[in-house]
Amino acid sequence: MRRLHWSATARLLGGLLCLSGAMALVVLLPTARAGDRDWMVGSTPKAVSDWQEQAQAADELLSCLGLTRQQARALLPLIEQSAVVHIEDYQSTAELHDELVPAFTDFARQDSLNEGFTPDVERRTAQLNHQAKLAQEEKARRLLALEDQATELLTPTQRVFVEEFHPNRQRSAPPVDARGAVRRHLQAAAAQAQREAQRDELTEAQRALRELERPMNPTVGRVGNLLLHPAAADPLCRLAGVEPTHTMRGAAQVLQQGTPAHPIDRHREQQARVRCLRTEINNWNLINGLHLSVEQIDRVTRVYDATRPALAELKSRGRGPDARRDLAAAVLELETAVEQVLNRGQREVLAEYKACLIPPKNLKDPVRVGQANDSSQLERFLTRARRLTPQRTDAAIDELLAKETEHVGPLPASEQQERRTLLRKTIEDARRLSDVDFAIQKGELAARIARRDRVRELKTEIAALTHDRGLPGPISRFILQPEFIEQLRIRGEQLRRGPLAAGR
Amino acid sequence: MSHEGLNRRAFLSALGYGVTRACLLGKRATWAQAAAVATPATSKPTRRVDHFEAFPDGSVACGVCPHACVLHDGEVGRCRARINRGGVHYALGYGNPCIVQVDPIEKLPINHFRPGARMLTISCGGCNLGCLYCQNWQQAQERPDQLKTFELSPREAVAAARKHKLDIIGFTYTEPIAFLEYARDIAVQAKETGIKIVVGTSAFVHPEPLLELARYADAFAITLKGFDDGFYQEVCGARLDPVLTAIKTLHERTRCWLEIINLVVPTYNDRMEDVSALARWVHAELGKDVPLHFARFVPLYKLTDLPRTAVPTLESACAVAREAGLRHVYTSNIAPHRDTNTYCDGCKTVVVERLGFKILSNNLRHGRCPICRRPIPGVWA
Ligand code: SF4
Repeated sequence: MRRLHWSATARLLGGLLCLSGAMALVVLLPTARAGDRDWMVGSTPKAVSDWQEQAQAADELLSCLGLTRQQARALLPLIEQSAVVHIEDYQSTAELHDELVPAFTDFARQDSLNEGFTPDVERRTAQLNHQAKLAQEEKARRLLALEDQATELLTPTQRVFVEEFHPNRQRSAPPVDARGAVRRHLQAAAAQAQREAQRDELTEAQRALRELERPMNPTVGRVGNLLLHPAAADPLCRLAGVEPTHTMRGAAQVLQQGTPAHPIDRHREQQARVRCLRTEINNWNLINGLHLSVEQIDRVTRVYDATRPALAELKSRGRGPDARRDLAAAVLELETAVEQVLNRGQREVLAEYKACLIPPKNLKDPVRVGQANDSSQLERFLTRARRLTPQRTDAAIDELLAKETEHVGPLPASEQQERRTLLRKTIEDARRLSDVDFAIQKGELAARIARRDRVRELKTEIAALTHDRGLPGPISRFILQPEFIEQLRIRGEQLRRGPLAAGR
Repeated sequence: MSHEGLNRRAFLSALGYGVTRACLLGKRATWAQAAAVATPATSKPTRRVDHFEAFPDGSVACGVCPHACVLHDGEVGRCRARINRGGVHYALGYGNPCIVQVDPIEKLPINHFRPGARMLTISCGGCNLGCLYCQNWQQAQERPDQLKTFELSPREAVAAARKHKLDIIGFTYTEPIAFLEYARDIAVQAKETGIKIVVGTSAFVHPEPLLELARYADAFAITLKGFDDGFYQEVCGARLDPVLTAIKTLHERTRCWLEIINLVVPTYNDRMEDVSALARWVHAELGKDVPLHFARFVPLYKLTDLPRTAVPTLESACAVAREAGLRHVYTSNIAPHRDTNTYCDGCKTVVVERLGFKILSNNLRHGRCPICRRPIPGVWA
């Protein structure tokens, strides 16, 4: 990630303020805000509405959180740093998106042909995707660090309140007395949480999965997203009795208008394109991996088309319990109809499917879709480890454990030693074998040390529970989506045109 | 290659795949030059080749495959696996396989021979073909003595299979004809212990040496690269006729189970006329019950600028082969796909359901369809 330093940020802000000229200055003046809003709505409706929503949420949150002036003042340096993170992130993601859009477009085009990728297109996509992931992780990492500090400044009650805060919900019933609202809200939330925890295994499994996935995909919580968002700077400054800083105002400007090089309209557009392209690529990957026949495609699209009006009608009936029950029943019926179209192999592929941008390239296995669970990595590990000295073996084990943490989540502390012992013992066993015996047994040895994939287990458990309860499963999630169905129709047409036309 | 093929190639190129004929021609020259290469003195040939003629000038003429290499002292053959050392023809790599591993038998691919069985795969470096799209080029296009290898005598190979309770030994990945002497000696030992032998080969070999291996083998998965001699010569560095002769020989003179594999390379051998000719030949010469697989090409080695085979092409090839009268036609190297399953020819019931190399269900009852009781050709137990 192109990370800007403070000096660079200052330069960027300076440049921004100069280059965007009088218009920008007008926006920065609080007195000019209302008039300018009309102008901004006209040119950047989405950005402004996003910003307004954020600002509104922050206002609401701060109005009922009961922060003291001292707390507000202590939060200001953090919001200042958060503003820097947002400005830098805007700059780097805007630049990255300019590269991602053409790269993903080429990749999606080749993916739609189901004939593999040219090496340059594949390489470029992989590189940029990796860069995007790093950028996202970097932003999350920096905001999480600020979030930790901000959380420290809140009382336990305030912390829970922020975590439970839903702007829309609060909006409908604005609290008369802030502290009373906090108390009532907390009581209700605690009771609800208790009910949910007791309610069933599904909630429990979902919670466990969230916990497990959190370290793998660090996500910023509500404190970071609401309280430390640059849109919260104004109300927080008011509370603290100070003026917003230059950086805070700069962030507000960047997030509403963009930068001269990357105006907000275009940035939003690119962002949306990247999102669509990701969905399109994931869909093609699944379509390519399922190998549906023309007949199957026709049946799936027919079922979808036939039930869509009824589903739309059910959805329009709102979110009451009856409407939700009827909708779930209809979705389940639709899922069952689609499931019957798939053969056993396709059902298995779908059940195991994990969306990923670049499909695995394991030539040993013709089932190439989603993220493969490949034991050959452990075979390679053992092949290497059995030749290492005992000192280097430990380093190799550390390396493997770190990789596993990255891919399947951290191991509970209680199991870490046990796993180390198992790895050491298996490497010892591998060492004792002759080369030929090891070559023959390496698959079994790799299976012995394959780490229990709790994420996968929980997903399977959740899928089974949701299915049993008539809740939507992977068929709804992946197949019964309008974009997927549209792409499926395109594939149907390709197949109908026959071999020469299909891919060329 | 036909003009139509060229036009389609040009079309493909225009679509951005960058297939240039000039580049491929350049590459074709590469393998042809590999014919006779001087060997380093460190090589340790360990067994004489059975089929060769020695000449007074110290050269030898190899009699294993139709390349008929004539080698002077120190030269290795086109397969990179045989060497003239002091006027005697030796097999390089004998007892030194570069691959020893356990695989599902479906990997060959072979679908009508003990589905779901695991086999001990053994292969040595070298190959007497030089396919530009070689799927195992790191081993097949190398000299066996220049690879990292195992020490494994035929007796030890069989003992290893027994020790690990593997009752099939398979020779695949590289070309068993390049290590025919070793394969044959393993097969002889295996026969004594009841272990089955399956061979994945391109069958560019003279009938006699082939029969010497086949005498001890149980099944062959033969890659018939195409049905056009030009394609064989241009892309594979071999010829079609000897391959057809070898396949017929196996069919007529042995009791080995046969399956034929055709790897469909976009723009090279994917014309349906050629596919049809190939299927009709299989039907006429080998019979309607011999399974025919159409395998998906994955860009590798020197044909990395080509796309993968379009799935509809493989499906059309299957349809064409069925029209030609073949009863068991498969797609391979794609999954999940309906044409990877085995169907009863009578009632069309799925008798063996596959997902890649995995058997999802085997519903056969003593080699028969569970519904209509029709026998399904193959070796099922
Ligand atoms: S087997 Fe090898 S050495 Fe013998 S003729 Fe064929 S390519 Fe030449």
